[in-house]
Amino acid sequence: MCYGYNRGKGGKKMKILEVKNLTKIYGTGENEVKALDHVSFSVEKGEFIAIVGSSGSGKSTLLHLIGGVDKPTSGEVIVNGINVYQQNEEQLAIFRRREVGLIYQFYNLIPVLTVEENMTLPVLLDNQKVNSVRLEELLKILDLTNRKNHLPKELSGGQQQRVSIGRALMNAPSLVLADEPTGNLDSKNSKEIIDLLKITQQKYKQTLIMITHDERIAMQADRVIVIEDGQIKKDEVLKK
Amino acid sequence: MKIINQLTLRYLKQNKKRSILTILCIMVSVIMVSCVGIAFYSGQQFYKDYIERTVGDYHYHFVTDNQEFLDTLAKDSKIEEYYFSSTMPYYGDNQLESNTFFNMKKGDSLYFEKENYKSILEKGRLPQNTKEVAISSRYLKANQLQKTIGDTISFYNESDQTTETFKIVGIIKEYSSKNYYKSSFSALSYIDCRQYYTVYIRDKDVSKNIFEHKKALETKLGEQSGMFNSSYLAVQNIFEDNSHSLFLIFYNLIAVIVIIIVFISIFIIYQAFNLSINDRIQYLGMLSSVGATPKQKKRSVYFEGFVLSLIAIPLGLIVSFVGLGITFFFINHLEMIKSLNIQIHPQISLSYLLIVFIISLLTIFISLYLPARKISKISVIDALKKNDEIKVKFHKLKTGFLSHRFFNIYGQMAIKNYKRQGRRSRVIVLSLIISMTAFIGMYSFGKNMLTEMNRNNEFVHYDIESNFAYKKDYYNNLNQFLKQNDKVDNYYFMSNLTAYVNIDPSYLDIPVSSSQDFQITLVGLSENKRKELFEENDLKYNQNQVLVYNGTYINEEGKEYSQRFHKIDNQLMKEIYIGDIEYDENGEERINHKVKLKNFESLEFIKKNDFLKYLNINEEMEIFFIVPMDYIQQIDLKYTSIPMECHIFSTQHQELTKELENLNYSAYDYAQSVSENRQIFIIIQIFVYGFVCIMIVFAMLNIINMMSASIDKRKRELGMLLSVGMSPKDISKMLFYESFIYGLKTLLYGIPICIGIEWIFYKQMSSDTVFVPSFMAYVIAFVVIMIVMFITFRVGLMKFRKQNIIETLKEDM
Repeated sequence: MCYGYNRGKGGKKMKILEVKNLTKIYGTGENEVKALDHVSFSVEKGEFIAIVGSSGSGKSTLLHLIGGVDKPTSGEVIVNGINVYQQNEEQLAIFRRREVGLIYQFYNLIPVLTVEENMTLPVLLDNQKVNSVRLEELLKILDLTNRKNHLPKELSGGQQQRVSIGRALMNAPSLVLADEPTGNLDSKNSKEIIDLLKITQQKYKQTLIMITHDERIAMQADRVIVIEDGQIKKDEVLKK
Repeated sequence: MKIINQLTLRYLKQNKKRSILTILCIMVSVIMVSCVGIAFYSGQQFYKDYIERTVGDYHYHFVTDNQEFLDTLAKDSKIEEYYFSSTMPYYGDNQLESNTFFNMKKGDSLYFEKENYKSILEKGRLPQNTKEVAISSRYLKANQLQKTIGDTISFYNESDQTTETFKIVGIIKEYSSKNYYKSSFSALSYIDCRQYYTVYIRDKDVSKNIFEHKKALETKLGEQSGMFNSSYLAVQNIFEDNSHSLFLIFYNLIAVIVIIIVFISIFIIYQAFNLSINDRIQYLGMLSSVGATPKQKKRSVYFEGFVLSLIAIPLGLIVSFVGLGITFFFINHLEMIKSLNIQIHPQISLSYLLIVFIISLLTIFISLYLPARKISKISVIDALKKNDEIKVKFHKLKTGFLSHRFFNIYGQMAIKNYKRQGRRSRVIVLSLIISMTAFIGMYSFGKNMLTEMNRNNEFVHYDIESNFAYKKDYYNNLNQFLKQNDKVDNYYFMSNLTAYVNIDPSYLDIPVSSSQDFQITLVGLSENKRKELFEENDLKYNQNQVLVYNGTYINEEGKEYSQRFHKIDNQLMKEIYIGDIEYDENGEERINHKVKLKNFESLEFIKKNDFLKYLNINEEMEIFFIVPMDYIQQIDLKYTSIPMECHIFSTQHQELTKELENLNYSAYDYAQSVSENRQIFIIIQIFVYGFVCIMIVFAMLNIINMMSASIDKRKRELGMLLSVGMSPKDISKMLFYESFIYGLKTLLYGIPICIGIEWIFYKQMSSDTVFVPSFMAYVIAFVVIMIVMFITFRVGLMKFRKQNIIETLKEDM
């Protein structure tokens, strides 16, 4: 598939994600805050990475920069060979549509679109035909088949988060980025969501990077990265 | 793109209040632009009908006796129609008896049809050949002619100096013309084109080609005697060079007004769309996070504009037509318009309709440009976090020592809340200033126009004026008629003559070079009016006494003298005379004969009073001697006539004027003219008030829109204030202070601007009065601003009050 992107030097397929000296500074002068400070790491295809750290450590900032929803002060992010921040705005939007699936703590669903429309939004934005087989499959996995024509306000928190997961997976992106996906859910729903993410990650060989405060969830990942004061303090492989 | 458009439509349906407000803003803009065009076009059509009624529907006319020209006209394929007329002076068969003089109108059948002469036919029919006549019943009665239909009658043609005999085929009403385009006449006959005639021509091609065609006809005629019906052509936008520049000035004025409206519309519609975009910025951020490109987001904004325009533009046009229709309905019922037998209806030309559409769409899309650009440029994360708040620097939020001293916590919070709005508060204040300026401007315009109208009416206090050159019989007949007529409430005669006196300088306080002849004004007045002057000055009435105005005098160097005379008696004047000017055949003065007048036996001073104002006394220059009317009547002039005025008071002035005209007395219905001027003033005021009200509504919509959005954003904050112990009453107090700040700021900037505008209006009216700003209007404006702002805050809070504190605090979007 040709997306018209900048595929970086040489055009060789790299690790699915490479972060190089990523820095993000907010404000200026006395009010300057370094949210990320020369962060570097890489991720292989199919890995489940948990990012942990205290409040204000820079976890969400890192995730947003990987997902192309924010702009770094310096550094590079290379996803599937694409140097994310060498693209123009149009290319970046298409990148977000096809290469990344973002799941937020507060779902961020479009309130006027149904479940099915919210899930197929990235495909529709691409003016592509929806793969109905994939859609039905996702709806079944996420237990949303009977809710596909409902609006977000008619769903529980857990159901809304499942729609968010469905949207993130619909276009089979290279990366699924989840920013505390269970932060707004009770324990029962939280377990269900994590289980679903793991199922889909394994089924579709998805690379999943998740921010979490929950140690139990972090322990289920293949690798844990600990961030503190904008820097990686620990990068530990839990499972080979 | 389909999903983006669907999303936009659903969002608009879901947020009905915001969508309706935006539609209203667009509608008001469309209403303003279209009302200007509809009013102008309707007025143009009305004026065209008026010209057709009063002047005629021809394009140009020729006055000639050229017989070959008739063949030329008959063969000219460019001519749609042509018709003839002439007016000839005739006398009765007695020849040159002045009281048998009348005008005979001659024309062809098309001319009779155009002028609708059938409507003045009382009996019989209109003439069909040159030997037939329709004569007025008034003429027959006035000249005691026992003639009827079928009889023959002879008249003396003064132009040809021949006697003509006609057969009477019809009896008509006397035709009295109300304008100088057409002459009055007492008889109608068919035109004989062997004599001088006027031919009126309408071309088929109603365009600038008319000018070429007329020139070509002039060449064939061999004389430059063609004249255009210029106003009729100009009202159809046909101009030659820059003639009728008044119309061109009008068109330029319309263009300027439309441009101003467009600028104001862009400002306000931009605010409306900006708010709508701000409301859904988070959703657009979500779309962006799942891959909507900046172009797709921009298109969403333009699509919103397109959908709302589709609704607002036709609605705006409909409202314009209905609104103007109602306005014209009332205008058509004004006496002045009813008397014309023409009505004004709301109409618009196709080209202007297209212009309205184009201007409206352009305005909307220019207004959308910045919000669309903003939404495409805002980063995804800022959109998701709704970081679109106007950022104000910390030091600008500080309240000074004085506010700490004089205001409580609610006042200080109100000041900070006002300051942190930043640009938004400036926009609101600007909208309020625009509304205030429009209101004060309208108020001042009306006030100045009324003052000017009243000033112009200061010198006339009667209802009807009749002017004539004094002749004893005429004067006595008129006097008799007025005395016996029950429609007359009161009347008097007046005559102003310039006379010359040789005054003994020892009587005078004002400096004189030597014994010389002074120019004075002799004012002859009816005795009933002179009696009033005696009573007002506490003098015993004496029929032969001359009243002298002994007022202040200012010489050429500007020095003021409190009185002219220090004493007065019958030795004041050695001689008094009047000039009887003889003119030669060319109308130039030849000899000024000196006619000596009777010296005054008894004189008395009078003080200044209202009546003297009506004599147009110019205090600096003239000396007035108010004499009995019979003094004037005894003056015997051979060459010059004595001008006489009759001032009549009557509540039934319209009917009385008609009666006077029917009896061939000159009569000017001054009361009717004043009434018509007031009606024109009312019409102008209706349009001005209407237009300004729309502008004020426009600005208020903008303010309500912005303030309700501002309150929506502050709900969480207000919820927090409640949670820490502020009562709803305290919140209302804080909001009241905020309203007060907006009102005060508006006045601070608005008052100098409004005073400036009032000063400009005052100077334009060139009034002698002292300039005084309209204080009451400023008070009203301030109170209205406060009410609007406070209501806006209260309405915005109503929804907020229904929620409990914790729901408000939890609210993320």
